Amino acid sequence: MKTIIFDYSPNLIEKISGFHIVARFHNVASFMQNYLFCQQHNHVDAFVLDLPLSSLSQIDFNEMWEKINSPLVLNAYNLGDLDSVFHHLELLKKLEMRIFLSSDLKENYYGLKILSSLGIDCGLHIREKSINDELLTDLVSYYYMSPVPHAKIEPFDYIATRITDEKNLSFNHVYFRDDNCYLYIDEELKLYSSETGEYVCLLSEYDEDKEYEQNVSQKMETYYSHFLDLDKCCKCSAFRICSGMMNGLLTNCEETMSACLEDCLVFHNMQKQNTNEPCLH
Amino acid sequence: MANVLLTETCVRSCPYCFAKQYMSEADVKDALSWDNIIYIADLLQSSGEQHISLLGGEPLIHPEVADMIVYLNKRGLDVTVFTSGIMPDEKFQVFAQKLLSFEELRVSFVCNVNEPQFNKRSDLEKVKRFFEFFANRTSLSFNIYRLEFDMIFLIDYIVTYGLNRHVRLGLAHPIPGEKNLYIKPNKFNEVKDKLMRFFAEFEKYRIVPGFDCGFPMCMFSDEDLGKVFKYSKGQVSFQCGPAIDIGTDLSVWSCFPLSGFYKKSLFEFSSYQEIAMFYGQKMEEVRKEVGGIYESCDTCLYREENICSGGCLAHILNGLIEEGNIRHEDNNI
Repeated sequence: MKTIIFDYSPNLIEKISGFHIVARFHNVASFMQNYLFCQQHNHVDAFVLDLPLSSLSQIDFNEMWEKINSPLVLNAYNLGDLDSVFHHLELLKKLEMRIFLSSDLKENYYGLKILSSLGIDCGLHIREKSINDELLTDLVSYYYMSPVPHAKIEPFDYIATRITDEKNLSFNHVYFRDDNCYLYIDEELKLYSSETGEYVCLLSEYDEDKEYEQNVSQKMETYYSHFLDLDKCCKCSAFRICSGMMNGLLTNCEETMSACLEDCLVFHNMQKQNTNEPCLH
Repeated sequence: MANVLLTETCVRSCPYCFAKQYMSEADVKDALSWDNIIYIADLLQSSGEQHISLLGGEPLIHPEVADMIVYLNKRGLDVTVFTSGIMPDEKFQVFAQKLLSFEELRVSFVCNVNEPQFNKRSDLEKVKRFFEFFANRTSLSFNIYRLEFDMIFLIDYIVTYGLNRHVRLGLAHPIPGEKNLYIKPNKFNEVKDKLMRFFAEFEKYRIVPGFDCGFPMCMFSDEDLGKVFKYSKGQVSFQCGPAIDIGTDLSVWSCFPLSGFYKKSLFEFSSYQEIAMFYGQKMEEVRKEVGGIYESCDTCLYREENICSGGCLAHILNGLIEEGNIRHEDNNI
C-alpha cells in the first residue's frame, strides 16, 4: 500500500490507523497538539506543516519541537526576520526538518542560500506561478558549484542523487505529488492519485495491482502526448530531470532547465570522482 | 584578511578620504547584496580564511548590516567593522538591540575618528552614543592628513568611554590622479616629531599605537625606533602588502589608494590566496622600477630585505602620473 497523504483531522486519523502516512497541518497549534498522537498510531513518513502565508520567523520554535522524531516539511512564505532564524539556528539544525520557501518571492532565492550555507536542509516550493529564470539558474548554480559544503536544497538534491538511477525523473516526489508513492485521501475515505487528481476508489476497495496498471497506462499516455503534440518538452534535453514540470513556469524553460541539467551532471561527475566510483556518463 | 565594502556611500566627507571620488559616483542603493556576501563568504571559507573586515563608505548604513554581521559569525568568520560610528538615530537602536541579543558575537569595531572641531555636533553625539554601547568591542583609528594634527582627544575618548586601548594610525595617502589631502613624504619628519610626543602621552594611559601600512622606517631615528617598539609592545611593521578590497559589485583591488589600478572581478579568482598573490606580484613589479618614496630607498638595505617596503605605493604612482609616465595593463582609469 502506498503512503497516504491527508489533511489532518481527528476523525480521519483513527480510521487509517496502521497505514504509512503523511499528515498535513495548516497551523502550528494543531500540529503541536496532534503530532505525538500520529506518531503513536501510525507509521509517519513525514509531517507537512503548510504555512503559505507565514514567515519562518513568526513560528515559536521552542523545546517542544525537539520531541518531533519524524521528518518534517515546513512550507513557509519567506524567512521573515533573519535574527529569529539565527537565534534558533541550533534547534533548526537538530530537527529532521526541511524548510521550503515559496518560488514566487525574489528574496527566497538568497534566503535558501542562507539556510543551506548555515547547514539547514531546505527547498524551493514551486508553486503554479511563473518563476524567474535568472534567479532559478543562480540558485541551481550555487547548489551544484559552491566550493564549500552546505545543506541540501530541493529539488536539486533529489535530481542529483537520482540522475543515473532513473532515465526520467520527476521531482514531483519532493512535493509529495508522486503517484507512484502517494495517494491522497479525504474525510470520506476516498482515494485520489494526487491532491487535484483523479478519483481512484474507496480505501476499502483499494487494489494495488489494478491501480498500478491504470497508473502506468495514464503515464504512458501523458508521455506520448508530448511527441504527438510536438510540444517543447519532446525536444528538450532536460526533460529527463523535469518531465515537463517546469513547462509554462519559466520564460525560457528549455535553456534554463538545460543549464540546470548541465550543472547537475558536472556536480554528479565530481561526486563520482571523489568516491572513486565509475562514472556512468 | 579581506576588506569587504558593504556600501559605497559615506555619512562624512573627510578631506583625506582616499575613496572620495569613488564614493561620489555611488548610489545609496549600491549596497552589497545577500547573494554577493554569500559568494564572498564561500570564497573566504574555501580559502581557509577565518576573518573578514567590513567597511565602505559607511558600513553601518547598510539596511541589513546587523543580520550580515551575525550571518558571517554563524558561518564561522570573525568580523571587524571599520566605521565612523555614525548612524541615523532610529536605525541605531535596532542595530544595537539586534547585535547585543547574541551573547557569543565575535565582532569588533574600528572607529575612525577625526578631531572634534572638524565634526558636526550631531555627528559627535552619534559617535559618543556608539562608544557607550560598544565600548568593549571598539578601538579607534586616526588618519594623519595635516601637520597640525592633535591626538589628545583620542586619549579622552578611550578613557571616558572605556574603549580598547589601541589606536590604529594611518598616514593619509594620495589617490593617484585624484585630489585628496595627504602628507607629502618630505614632511614625514615633522609628523614623526609630533607622533613621538603623543606616544609618550599614550604610554601614560597604556594606550598602544599601531601603524597602518605606508610608514617608512627611516622617518624614525634609531632612538625613536626603540621607543616605537616599546610603545607598540613590539607590534610594529613597516611593510606594505595588498590589503584586498572587495566592492559591492564583487570588483576587487589591492587597496583603496590603488583602487584605480588592476581592478578585477572576484569571479576571475578561485581563492583568496590567488588574489593576494596577483596583487602582490603587481606591487612588486612597480617597486622593481621605483624602489620607494625616497631616492635612498633604491639602495636601502632594509627595503632590500623587506623589513621596510619603502612607503606607500600610492606616492610612487602619483609621482608617475604627475610625470605623465603611467603604465598599466588594463587601462583601468
